[in-house]
Amino acid sequence: METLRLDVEEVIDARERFYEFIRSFRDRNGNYKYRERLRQMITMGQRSLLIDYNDLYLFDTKLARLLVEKPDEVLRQASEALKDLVQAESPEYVEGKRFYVRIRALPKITPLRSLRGEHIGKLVMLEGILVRTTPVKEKIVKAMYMHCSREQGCHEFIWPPEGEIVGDMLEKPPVCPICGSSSGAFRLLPEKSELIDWQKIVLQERPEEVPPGQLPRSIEVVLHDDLVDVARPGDRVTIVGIVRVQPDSLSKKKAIYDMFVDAIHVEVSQKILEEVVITREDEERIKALARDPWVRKKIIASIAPAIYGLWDIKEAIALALFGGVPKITPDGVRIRGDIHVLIVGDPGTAKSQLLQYAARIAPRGIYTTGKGATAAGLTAAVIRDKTTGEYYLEAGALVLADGGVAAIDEIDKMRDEDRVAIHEAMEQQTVSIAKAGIIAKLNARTTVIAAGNPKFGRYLTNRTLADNINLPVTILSRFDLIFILKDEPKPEEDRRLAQHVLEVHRESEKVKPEIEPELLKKYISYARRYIRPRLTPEAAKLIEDFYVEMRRMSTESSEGAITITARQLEALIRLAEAHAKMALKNEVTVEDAEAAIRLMKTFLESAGLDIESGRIDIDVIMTGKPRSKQEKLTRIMEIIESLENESPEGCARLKEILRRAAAEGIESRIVEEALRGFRRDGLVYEKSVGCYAVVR
Amino acid sequence: MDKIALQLKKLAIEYRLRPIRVMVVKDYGTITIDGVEYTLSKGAEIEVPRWLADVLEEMGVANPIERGLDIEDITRVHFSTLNARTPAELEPLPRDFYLEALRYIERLSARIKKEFNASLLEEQQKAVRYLLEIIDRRLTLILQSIRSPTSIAEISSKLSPEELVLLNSLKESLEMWQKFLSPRLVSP
Repeated sequence: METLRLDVEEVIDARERFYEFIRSFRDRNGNYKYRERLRQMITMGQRSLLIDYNDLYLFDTKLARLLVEKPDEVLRQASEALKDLVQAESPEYVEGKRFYVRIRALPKITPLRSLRGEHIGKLVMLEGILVRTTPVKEKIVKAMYMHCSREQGCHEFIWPPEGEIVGDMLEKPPVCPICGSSSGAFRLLPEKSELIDWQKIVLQERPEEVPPGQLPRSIEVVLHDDLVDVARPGDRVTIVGIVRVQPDSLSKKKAIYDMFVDAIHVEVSQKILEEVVITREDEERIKALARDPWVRKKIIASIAPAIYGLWDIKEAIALALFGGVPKITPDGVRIRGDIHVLIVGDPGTAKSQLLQYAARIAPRGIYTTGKGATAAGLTAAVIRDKTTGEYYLEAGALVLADGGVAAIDEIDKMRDEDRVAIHEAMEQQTVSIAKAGIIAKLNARTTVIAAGNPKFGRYLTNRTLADNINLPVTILSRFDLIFILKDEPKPEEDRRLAQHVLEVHRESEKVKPEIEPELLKKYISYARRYIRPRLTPEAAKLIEDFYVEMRRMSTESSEGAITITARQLEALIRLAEAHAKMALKNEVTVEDAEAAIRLMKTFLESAGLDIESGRIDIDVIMTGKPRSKQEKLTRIMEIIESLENESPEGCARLKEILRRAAAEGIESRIVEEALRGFRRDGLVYEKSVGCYAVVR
Repeated sequence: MDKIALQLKKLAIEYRLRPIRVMVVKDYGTITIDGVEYTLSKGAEIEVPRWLADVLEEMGVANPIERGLDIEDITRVHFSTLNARTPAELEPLPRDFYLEALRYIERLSARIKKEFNASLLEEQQKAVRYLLEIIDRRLTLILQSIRSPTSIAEISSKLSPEELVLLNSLKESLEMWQKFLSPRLVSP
């Protein structure tokens, strides 16, 4: 019988002890926990038995310690014990199968940053975000060789011998185990060999754990068999595995090795925002804070207190940090609870500072720029590892911040690939990718707080929002709230701002936030985790009335401009829910609905204003063109068509178009702009110089 | 010695006075203790001092909501404590660890008396053994660190209030002892 030495005095028979453990361990209720699990494993056709480390520790402390110290040997023997037990329970199920004992929940988490040489060959538990995965590959565990020699002819054999499996390198057998000869040819027969699923992933430190100013550490993790594909990029996982080394792929110096982890168990974190630890004392402080009637004002005032004014924007950011309540309808449709906020503003209006602060106090907050620091950018990408040539699926910022907040600065400068993928990420809250044979759908349930600069350097008030920012209207329309920050000289306001900035520089203590950032982060985390406010009938009625009234205004205005759509209605509900969450209320009251309506009105009056008619027109955001302009464009098109029909040359002369348009009160500037647009969109072509015809 | 016993007793009283949340399971009207009014209406979640929670639990009026310490927590602490070879490697204990562990063992003992259950008995024996081993290892490390001020600084942030009582008392005694025996130099 094989035995293992724990130290000088003690010798443990791991196989026998594991056999005993699985057979006889009883939980507090007196149930044979692992016997039950074993039966379940066989019934479900699985090959892994999951063992809680704590149970093993209680059963046999020395064995449990030995498992951490010498996991390879102990786990090998544990698997054998498991196979024996399956054999006794269901002999036919054992046939040609490989069984695994998987260990979960070690008492200690080893921070990725502190993995060192002393951990090599030991069992550790790591936590982090899965950032990359390779497609599933097959690895040989038992190779089938054919040996052919002149004297003995050809014969097949399995390598390595019983009890061993192929390691990281497949080495040719030194001699043929059948004929004992080392001469002749050895040929590997892959299709006859025993293969198991294999996948490599990269685990990265969670962003909130990275010390300021340092790069996040990551480590490669190898998954085998039933562990492959259990997690997707962006998932927060806990991995129990054995630390191993492999030659450094970059340097040719053979003495340098890279660490990697051979996973024994992978668990995807289910709990929301569990990384923010809220102690009993914290909970008391949070509840005491929520009882304060001024809590909302205090929260808003605590967002970037060094920045003067911008109360509405700070309120919008606060609401976005708390978020609405996500819902899943019985037919499986998910309605997002995340509130997306966009700030478009002149340079030097503290946009970036606001964003950085938001990312700092947000649980799972990530600050990034539109250009993105990684190849994966904002959404996700399939990239090729330069050294190994392998394809990886790498998660971008929105996927990594799943369940949290992504503060995206300079959103107008994002990559073209992201421009396409962000549509899906913002509304469906997933990122789909299909490249280089990798097809995946990753979760991106992320709140987006973004900022962008105006296209022309400064925000031009005589142009629409869509004209002012380099973002397609399809993305603009996905934001629940858009704010425009114009840097306009106003003597009184400027004086107050100057005094505030000087005060900040003179006595920085004076801008101390009302609520400490650390506590605010916990408060937000608590609200996001536990508070699910429901709309009261009164609040619902108020929102309904507002919506209907705004829609009625559309029918009354001469241009028929649409002031609000169902998208804004959903946004209103989210805002009201977030407002209730801010005070940890379980009900959305009239007060919350009023606050949401006020903020929505501010947004519509600044971003959704038709600059020509001076009325609110949501089409400014939804289509980029106000209804008044859309109608003019339709009329111009009609003029071209009728002139084309009337004219013998079959096209409309520019002079004539301008004349007819002027008769209908359409300025020549708009006609010229419309013609440029029609030609660009392929609706109209210039048949001869200065004469236009409609494309049919 | 009296001083240590007194300080430990004070910690135990503070622990018993600390509020915990309970769920009221039976209507019991309103009670006033030390001028504080507690309304005990079925289904309500209220905060009461730990000693009162125990009384209410015994009377079948309320049940504590918070999960107390159990064998799994003791196991976790046992694992990390026995892994610590130097004062620097020692990890802080969960809040009220010793008092919670004693309470847990006492409760187990009471249950065993009422209903004889082999697995409960085994659990109790393990809890006692682990707790003694934890105390033993932590005590060794405290004693190891007592001779150097750097080690004391390193270890004191990781000690429980009960351990700090011991450390401070040992430190005081040691200083007094050294002062008494050290040769006194006469200034010229």
